[in-house]
Amino acid sequence: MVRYIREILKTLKTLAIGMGVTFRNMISPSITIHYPDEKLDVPVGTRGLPVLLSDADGNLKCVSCELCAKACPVNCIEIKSYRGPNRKKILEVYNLDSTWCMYCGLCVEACPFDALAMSDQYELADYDLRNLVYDKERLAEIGRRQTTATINFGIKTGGEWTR
Amino acid sequence: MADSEMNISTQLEETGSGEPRIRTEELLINMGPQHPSTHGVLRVMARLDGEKVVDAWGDIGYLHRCFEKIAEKRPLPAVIPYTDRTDYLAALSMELTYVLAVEKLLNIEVPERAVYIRFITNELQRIASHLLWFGAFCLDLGAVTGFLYAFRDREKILDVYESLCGARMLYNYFRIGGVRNDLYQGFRDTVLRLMDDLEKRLVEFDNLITSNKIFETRTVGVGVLTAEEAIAWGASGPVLRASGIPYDIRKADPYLLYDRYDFNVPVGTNGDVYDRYRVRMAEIAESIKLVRHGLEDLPRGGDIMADVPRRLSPSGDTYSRIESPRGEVGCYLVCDGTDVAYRVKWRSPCFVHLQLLGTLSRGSLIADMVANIGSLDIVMGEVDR
Amino acid sequence: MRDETSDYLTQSVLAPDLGKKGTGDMAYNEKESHGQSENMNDSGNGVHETPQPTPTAADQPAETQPERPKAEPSQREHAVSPDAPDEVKTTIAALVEAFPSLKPFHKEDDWTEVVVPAALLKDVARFVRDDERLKLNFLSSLSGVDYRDAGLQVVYHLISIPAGRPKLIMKVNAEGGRDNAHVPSVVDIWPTANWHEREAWDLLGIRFDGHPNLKRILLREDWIGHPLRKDYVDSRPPRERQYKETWAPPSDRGVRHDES
Ligand code: SF4
Ligand code: SF4
Repeated sequence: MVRYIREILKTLKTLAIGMGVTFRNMISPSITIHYPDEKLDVPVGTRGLPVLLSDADGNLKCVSCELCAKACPVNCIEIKSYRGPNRKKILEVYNLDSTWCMYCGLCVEACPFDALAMSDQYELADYDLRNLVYDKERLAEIGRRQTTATINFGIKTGGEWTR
Repeated sequence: MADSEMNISTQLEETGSGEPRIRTEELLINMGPQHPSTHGVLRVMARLDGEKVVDAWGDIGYLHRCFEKIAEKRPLPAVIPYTDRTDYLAALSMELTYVLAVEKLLNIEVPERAVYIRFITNELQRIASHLLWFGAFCLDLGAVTGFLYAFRDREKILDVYESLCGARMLYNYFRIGGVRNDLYQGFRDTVLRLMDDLEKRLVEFDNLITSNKIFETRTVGVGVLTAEEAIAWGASGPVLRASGIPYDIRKADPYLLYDRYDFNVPVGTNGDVYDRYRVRMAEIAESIKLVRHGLEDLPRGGDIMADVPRRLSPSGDTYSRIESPRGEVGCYLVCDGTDVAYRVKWRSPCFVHLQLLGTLSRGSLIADMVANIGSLDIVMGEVDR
Repeated sequence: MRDETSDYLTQSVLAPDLGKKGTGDMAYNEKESHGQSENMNDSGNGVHETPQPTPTAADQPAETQPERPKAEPSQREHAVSPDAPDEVKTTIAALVEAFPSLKPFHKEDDWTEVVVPAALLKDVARFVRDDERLKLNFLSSLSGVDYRDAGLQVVYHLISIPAGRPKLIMKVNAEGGRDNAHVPSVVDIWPTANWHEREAWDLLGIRFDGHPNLKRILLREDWIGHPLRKDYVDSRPPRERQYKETWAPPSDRGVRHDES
């Protein structure tokens, strides 16, 4: 009988200790945010959707070398180009199927012209599958909105952190 | 009412002594693959006698992607993001296994700083993975509070990873011959602060759960695995150590820097669910120590990538094994002189541990089976690969 | 469905020096002994039918064909270099003593490798598990490898649980050609082999004689073929990209990401 009561007392004591922890956490400041209304800042170098970058004149930096397409493990980049008048390659189609993409960043590392970068776009859900295939214009559009503060221009294998 | 009475009466049968007895039948039930406490898409079949489990076995394969076949089709460096996806809760450990195997074949010496970075990030990964396990395990036992606290602290580690390599879970950070990018400014301070924080949290978790009577009743003496059984069934990691065997690949077969630093290998005594919990929590404390050591001695500056030939052409076979948070991960790599692996075999601890389900559950209650599955720390991505 | 192997528990001796550190140095310094692994493919000569595990990649250009140095079996018998770790010497001595026909050699670090004929596998497995010097009680991994024309091979990585003791790689070439490849099962010796062997059967089509429940484990029961075979042809239609060049953003939806 004594043992029984001791058991009960011990149970109550351990419960009280546990509740103490809960109580302390209850009165400590909240760390959650209300997501769609507020958003946390993503750190520099977040790997979101890969986007195409433009130079100062607004032209795409991409020279259609297709190295990114070759480096992509899931083969989700589709490039079509033709030779222009001065033997220069002109990019016609650049489709990135974000339903296949796994945001690994290998394409960005492969690009020798810094024409491609991982953006900070991570809300990529859509009702229509077709909207998830990003073409050249949309990729460039998102790319133009990136600033040096939010994009990881310099992150290549073995590269220095640019901040 | 009359109906049920009639039902019972039809179930009565005459026994030899003339007394009526209720005829009972074993019941085969199916748990999962869509079940919150099977940690993914695990299907468990259990044969029950009342509430007692007569036998239980797992049915796997729902998440099978044939990672091994993919690895035979991609160039060696392009497989690294796929290794992340085998065990997505400890992705860096998986990358490390693969990268070490390739480096062994290619004879690459990794620069000191890169080794340190790998060491630190790997131990952080162990902490994050054990924290998540703690939370999920609390949830399995019905304690939702512990789950929230564990996730809150794990998030902070994931924040460090996100700043470091741009992703929260699937890092793609290690490279053959080094790491992808250097540490960011303030990494050391952030992590040190985090470790101080975590140490306090561990005490908190301890108060919350460890001595809790309800928790003890649900775990002590449940799912006992003897040392002999553990070895014979190939258990590794915390599951093996909870059974009283202080075998840790970090000690037995040191890789990275584990032979430079002193750390304890926590060992259980009874091999029950409670011991597995204690071992994992003690391991977090050891990992905090190791992270601190690593940050202290981290060389300032220096290369983070070795000189790796542009075209990789390893040949031969090798086996690399490391201690992931879940146990022994092995990668048997066969290369034939091209830059595509000829065969990659992934030895995953969860796959092996799932075989233990029957041994652990036989004779216990069906409610304890959930505790058993939880205590094995199963990640279905790794079981099915 | 039932795994009925719980009776096959091995007995194991837990030595008191369990927590002892391994003899291996730091992982990055261990590569010096790596050069000795070159003759990995020649260990089968003279023991049994000798599938040369040389992947003859038909789809690869000829210049990338691997160089396979060949060593005579007689040379290999004495291939234990004097500076090999003690565990390796012990392992080789114990194996050669019990099975004179085997040709174990030092592979890398403290691993010993031996090619075992399928007929001898059960005896060797039981010996290495029970022998006092070896006590290889932990089957770390069981891998099947398809070496195309050279046949299928099963590789066993064995370690001994008190740390700092021998480690052994056993390679067993499957008997019976590609269509009926089979190897004796070791489930009664190491129960953990159960699912590993089922996986090897599932993905590579190696039959394990004596396995209590040799069924597919990862794939569906009605799957045709064994996907990890090099000659496996995926009969499913390839996944098509639906919206190729013809794709245009539906005008009514606009570009979602412009809004944020
Ligand atoms: S991020 Fe990875 S998967 Fe996505 S396009 Fe680039 S290389 Fe391909
Ligand atoms: S690698 Fe860079 S420059 Fe070349 S096609 Fe891709 S984005 Fe364009």
